[in-house]
Amino acid sequence: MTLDDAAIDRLVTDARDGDTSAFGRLFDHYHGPIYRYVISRVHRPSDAEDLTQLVFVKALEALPRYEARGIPFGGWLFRLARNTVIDHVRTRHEHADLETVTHRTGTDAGPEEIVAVRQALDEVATALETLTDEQREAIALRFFAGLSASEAAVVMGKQPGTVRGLQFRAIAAMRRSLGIDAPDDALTGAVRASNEQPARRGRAG
Amino acid sequence: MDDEYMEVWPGDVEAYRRLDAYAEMRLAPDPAAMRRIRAAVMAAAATALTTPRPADAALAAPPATIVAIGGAPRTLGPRRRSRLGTALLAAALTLGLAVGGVSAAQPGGPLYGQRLWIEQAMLPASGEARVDAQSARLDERLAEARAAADRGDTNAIGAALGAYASILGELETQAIADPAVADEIGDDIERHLAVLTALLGEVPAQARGAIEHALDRSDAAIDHIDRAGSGRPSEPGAPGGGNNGVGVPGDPGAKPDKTTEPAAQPTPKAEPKPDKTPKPAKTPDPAPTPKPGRTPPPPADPDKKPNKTPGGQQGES
Repeated sequence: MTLDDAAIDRLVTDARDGDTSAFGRLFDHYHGPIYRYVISRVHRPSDAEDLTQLVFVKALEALPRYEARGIPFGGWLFRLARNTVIDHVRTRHEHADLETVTHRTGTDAGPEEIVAVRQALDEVATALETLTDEQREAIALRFFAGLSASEAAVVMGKQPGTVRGLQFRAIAAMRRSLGIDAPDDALTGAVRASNEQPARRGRAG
Repeated sequence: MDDEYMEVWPGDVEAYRRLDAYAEMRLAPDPAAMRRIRAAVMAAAATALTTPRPADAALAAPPATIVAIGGAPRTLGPRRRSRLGTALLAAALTLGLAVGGVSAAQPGGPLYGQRLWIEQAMLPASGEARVDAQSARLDERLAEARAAADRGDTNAIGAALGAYASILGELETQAIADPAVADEIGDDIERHLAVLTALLGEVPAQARGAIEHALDRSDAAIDHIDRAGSGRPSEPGAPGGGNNGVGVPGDPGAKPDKTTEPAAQPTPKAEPKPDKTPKPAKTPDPAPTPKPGRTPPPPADPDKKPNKTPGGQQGES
């Protein structure tokens, strides 16, 4: 389900006015990206499910205070998610290994293909682990949650350019980890102002 | 917003593709879980969003009348109303959570603490029913720890056994104060000791600390309860007396009437004590088990270094 900003604003207004189905539509729109962001940070599916629920319950509670803030609803919701994850990680003191993340492979794939896919995914997981925390968060918000650089910047409390820089360095580090060749000149020079990934947004639900 | 189409390097595209695949295959939510979460959230929304907002209520001239829980209607000012609204909302959310996910919260999960809190809040106020309920909770925590051990979930084992120790603490206090409770839970704790001891050999090394702590805690509870039960200095002779058959001289001094009349009563009381003497006999069980728990790591370190080749290989390469 795709919703534009105006439609989201309308749903938020309706929800604040007591329309539960409007909140349901907001849930449907955001739960996937929120879950993907959360699980990329906490790794354990059961934790991610609990935290996703907590994020929406917190959103319900805080919805009356939302309007005054003047932040796009998506950014606001992801901020809630980020704070929830931070609280969780802080109190838990322990991370589950990446291996505990759900392992899914193509349903029609043969055994060899499954092994190959798993291996490729494990490599991505390992590459993600080599990133700094901020780089990983930028990747999680941009790729797993599907936020734009501006939205991710709102969530992280940084400038969009900073987020792009984090993303650029993260991708460069991942390319190295994954052994993906890049043109020589791609690795030289300062942070490109332009590594915005088209079609990242709207991957909701 | 900033959906500018930017040039990307071929290598970037490949990295993006792999990240997409990773998100699809590893980070996608489980539809069943999401349905459950949605139901819980919508239940909370139904309560929360239909509650009149304080801002709306403040516009109304007369103060709102609400029905206090278990009390008569009363009127409140706007600020108080706002606070109460928040409290009601919190209660509703808690209820929503309770209905939806908290009851299913797993040990170590973010909602596990809330689940324990709700369990605790719903316990009978006092008496045998409370002891029974707490005892059942102990069993449940132990079952959770065992299930977590099956999954290899170290964190969940720690959370379940942490809760176990906390519940045991309350029961221990009650048992020390009330011999009837002591009799009731003594056997339970011994059974738990056996389960925990068995568990110790099944879990990964990281989880052993939590189990050893629970074992120590259970041992200590039994000791404290025993000491409180045999608080009178004459009692310690009982086990020995019981064993040797010389314990009779102790009885006449204290309870001559009871020895004749309800001769059966003192004996059952004396019987549990021999039952509890095996507890010291059981101490060997926990004692040797921690040792294996602790001993393997040191010798294993040098041996296991080769096993930890993943790390070593990384270092080497």
